[in-house]
Amino acid sequence: MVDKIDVIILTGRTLQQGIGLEVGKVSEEYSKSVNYAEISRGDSRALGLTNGSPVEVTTARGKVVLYGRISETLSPGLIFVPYGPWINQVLGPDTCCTGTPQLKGVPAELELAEGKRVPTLLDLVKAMRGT
Amino acid sequence: MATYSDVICPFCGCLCDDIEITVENNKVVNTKNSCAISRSKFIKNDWGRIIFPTINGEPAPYEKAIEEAVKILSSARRPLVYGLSKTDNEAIREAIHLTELVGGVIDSTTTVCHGASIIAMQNTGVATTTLGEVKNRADLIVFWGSNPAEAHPRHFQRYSVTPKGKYTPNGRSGRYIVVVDVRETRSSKLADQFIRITPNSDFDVLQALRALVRGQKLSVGEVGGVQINILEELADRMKGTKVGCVFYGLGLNQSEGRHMNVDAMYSLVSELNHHTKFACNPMRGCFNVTGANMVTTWQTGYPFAVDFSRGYPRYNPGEYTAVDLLAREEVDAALIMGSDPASTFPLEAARHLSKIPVVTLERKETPTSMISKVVIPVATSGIETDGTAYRMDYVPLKLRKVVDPPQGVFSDAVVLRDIIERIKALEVDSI
Amino acid sequence: MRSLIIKGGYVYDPLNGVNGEKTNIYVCDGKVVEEIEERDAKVIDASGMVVMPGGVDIHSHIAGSKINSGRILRPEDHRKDVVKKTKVTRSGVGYSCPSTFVTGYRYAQMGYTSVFEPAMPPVSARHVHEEMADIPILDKAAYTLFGNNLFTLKYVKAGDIEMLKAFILWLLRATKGYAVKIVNPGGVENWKWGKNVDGLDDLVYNYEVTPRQIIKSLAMANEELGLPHTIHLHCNNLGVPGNYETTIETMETLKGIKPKPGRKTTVHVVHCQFNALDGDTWANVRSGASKIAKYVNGHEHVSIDIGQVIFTDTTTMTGDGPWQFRLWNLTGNKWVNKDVEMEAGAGIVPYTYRKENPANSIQWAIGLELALQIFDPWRVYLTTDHPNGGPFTFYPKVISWLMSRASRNETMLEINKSCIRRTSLANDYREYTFNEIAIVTRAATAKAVDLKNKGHFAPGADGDISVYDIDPSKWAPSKYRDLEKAFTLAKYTIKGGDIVVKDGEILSTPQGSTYWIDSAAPTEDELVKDLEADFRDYYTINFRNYPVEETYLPRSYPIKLEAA
Repeated sequence: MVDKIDVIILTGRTLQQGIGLEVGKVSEEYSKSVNYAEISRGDSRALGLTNGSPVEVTTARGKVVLYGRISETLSPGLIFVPYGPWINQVLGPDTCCTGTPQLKGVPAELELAEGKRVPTLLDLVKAMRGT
Repeated sequence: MATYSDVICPFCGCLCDDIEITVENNKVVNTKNSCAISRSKFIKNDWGRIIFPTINGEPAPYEKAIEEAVKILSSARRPLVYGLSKTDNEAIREAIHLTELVGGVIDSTTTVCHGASIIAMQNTGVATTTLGEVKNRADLIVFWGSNPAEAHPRHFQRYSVTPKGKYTPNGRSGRYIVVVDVRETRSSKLADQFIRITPNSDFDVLQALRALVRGQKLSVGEVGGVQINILEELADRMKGTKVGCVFYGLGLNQSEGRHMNVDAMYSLVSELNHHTKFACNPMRGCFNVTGANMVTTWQTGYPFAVDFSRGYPRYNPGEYTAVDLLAREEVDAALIMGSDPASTFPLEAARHLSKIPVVTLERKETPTSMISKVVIPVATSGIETDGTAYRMDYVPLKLRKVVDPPQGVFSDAVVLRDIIERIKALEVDSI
Repeated sequence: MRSLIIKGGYVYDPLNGVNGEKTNIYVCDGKVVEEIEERDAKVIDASGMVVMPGGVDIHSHIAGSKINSGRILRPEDHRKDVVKKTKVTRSGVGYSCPSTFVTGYRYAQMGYTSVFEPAMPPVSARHVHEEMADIPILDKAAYTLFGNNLFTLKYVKAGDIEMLKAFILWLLRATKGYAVKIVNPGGVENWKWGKNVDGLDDLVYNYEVTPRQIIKSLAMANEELGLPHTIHLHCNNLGVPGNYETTIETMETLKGIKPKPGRKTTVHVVHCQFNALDGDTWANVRSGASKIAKYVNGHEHVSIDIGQVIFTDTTTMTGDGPWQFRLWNLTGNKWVNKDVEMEAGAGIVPYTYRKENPANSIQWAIGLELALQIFDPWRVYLTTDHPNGGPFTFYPKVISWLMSRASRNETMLEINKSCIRRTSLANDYREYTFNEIAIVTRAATAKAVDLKNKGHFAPGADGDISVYDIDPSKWAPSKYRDLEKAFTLAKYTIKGGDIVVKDGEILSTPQGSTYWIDSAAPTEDELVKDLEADFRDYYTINFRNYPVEETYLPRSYPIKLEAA
């Protein structure tokens, strides 16, 4: 078992995220659809992750706590997080003059986040405001 | 109770136009033919609606909210108008007019999605086609960095995988489907062949394919995590097919390399046309992001990120693109419509929105509306108002109203016009 | 009662036989009228100036999907030519892919008041009309693409002219189109398999019809229906050295078609310069213009527009997918291809016409040879096939070349000498008169599309007038620079009785009208059943969502055909 793993962040759309955002960003459905990270079976084992427990993702830009979900198909070294304000906490704004930030293939560190809470949407908004 | 057929869904770039809607008491109670996301949009249309304007979070009459919006935008030195993709062309026209009036910058969600595709097209051109040509002729489909099963749920059945067309009478069995991605997805499960590549290696793999298509031999054993023989096979298959089409998504645009990944893809597809018939199509996300590009282009010459501060349109990705402007804290006011950048932008850019006065036109509460000084509720384009939208392949469709908006809630176009009229009355010289 | 008098100018109204007479034009409530009292009207002093009906451009790519793709493709073109907003006008960009507002302003500034978009793919017709709604001032129309449409091919194959006629009327109405446009018939359909056609008797895959059959059937149907314009035809083999033969063969094919009563022509061949090449390859290409001119002179059923080349960087864009692919291979410039389901296609490639390039010099000469060697100015029109030959803003330059041999010589001295060796332009001494210019830029083009209120000054005509600051009584062809200057910025442009341009400046931007054909065949119900079935099977949008709603035309001007 290890404390930290180097991973690459992949983001993307999901059906649930689409359904959730069309209900509304402040809905339960939406939060549930974007506040988790899919982690490979191998990495989960290495960390000692139980399905649904909080994990912390850290990049050069910041850190965020997400629910960890074990994936049977993801390769070790990769995590998948649906697009949304949660993962945007750790993604940087550098667009290399193209306008588009790098939202996929971003290096990060992954560790368990026992005792830490996954933020709510309101938490994220407050943090954005600096309140 | 009323039923409407041939309704066009205002969710994604597919613009499926065969939806059947049942309306009762001004509410959508059932849908037929719609995917799960579409169904959610229609049936939850009235969930969590903002029904009155607010200023600083407090309810305010419409007139006052408009006044405040006018004050914010007309006194700003560098206002940003952003979003556009979840509303109709009629509103987008007004948004451009407004931006020109106040000498600001206008940008759409293209900027974080397929902006890179457009930049690549500007460098290289692109061989493309409308979706019906794929349905009727294509026998090889490649999905690259795209997961339509989750993002464009009916794409497979309407356009690219299963439909029987004029020269594709066998439907699915007459097509070979390849999915290229960094991970297995619901889409890859449906493919005849799944090719897994290492993240950030799209450029290398595409360039390798280009070399192979040109008949060059590569002296490496693998590229981007893919064995050379797999790539050789794919190159041959692409060259030898009757009609091929690549559908690609943000796997190319948002990884390292951005527009260079797309450039490589476009070049590959163009070069394949020396051997056979091949086309390429970007999987546009929001239902009218293509329309936003179209209107912006025909009115200003440029497809997104247009600056009007000198009284004429200027275009320079990196300089006038929204994420960059916000990250550099160059913007001192914003009008957001048809989008939620506080959610979709990286924090360092989104954060600046909470520091400046923002006017948001929204249907439901979002992080953007929560940090806005002025929030004005708007009708749902394509459900509560008629409007024009462009499908991902540029086919323009007229979206139809099926229910009335909440009392006192107007369309984006009407709200923007009200703002424009009052700004004109101020005779603001924005230069 | 808004009244205007354009007083004392040299009036050119060829449709009514007025050739430089010093006379007045009277306008009231937007229309030309017999005479009005000076005290009741605003008077414009046009003495010492040329007065013509507002320009009518019969073929210019101004609105729609491929134009817009061209705009996206060419930010570098826009940066050359930025247009600031004013109190009256919106901002934009110009040059070869101008934005919509600027398109309207620039045409009006040149004294043009009607411009027609020549290639509208039906499934994206809505796009054309959306853009046209944002082109200010000008009256407009769009020609619907028919030549590679699955229904055209189906009915041509079946030999069913009646269904074809019903389809033409239905599609014109559904797309709010004005005329039947044909581009590389058969070739664009074959291009969907990566192929083309090489001649009039090649077969179209899966349909087993020939370009000849397509062209003839559409021409016959067109004339039997009595549509205002003939078929508007972009011939096969565009851009291929030696293609003048295909062009003449095409024209000859249509000799036997009976034109509708009131006209003699049965075909309009567009941007003929690109289809007037002799030789076998680009290495030995030479002008085929004289041969084409000879044919046109001897046969009354043909009209052409020249598609003049300008030495500048521009953007080629046509519905001829395979041709544009060829051009990509020739130049290596960025290439856009867009196939449109069941109907059409398009391609875009930036291109620079260079003075030192022998082929370009020959092409330059060809356009002028066509105009100078075809005797009947009522059948040869001034175009650059904007932007394919060059931006429309160069029309004054073309006028100067037509009216002044000295102007042509100046250019000929600057360009590759193949224009002298491999064309006959050096021997063309003809110089167009002001009257002939009025014919080829307004009178004839208005007549060719049968818009009875355009292109002339008889009472009842639309009050569309251009005044140019040049005195024909004092002008000589050596003063071609003055001529060019005068036609670049009109002294006055009047549209529907409103002064929209004065001293080259835009004063107002009224919305123009869009003309379209609003008729239906008696067999339309039967046709619709057939259309609906194929829509279900082949299209990706539903039949009900296909036709363009009239609300997309802010000033809709439907024209009903007289019963045939």
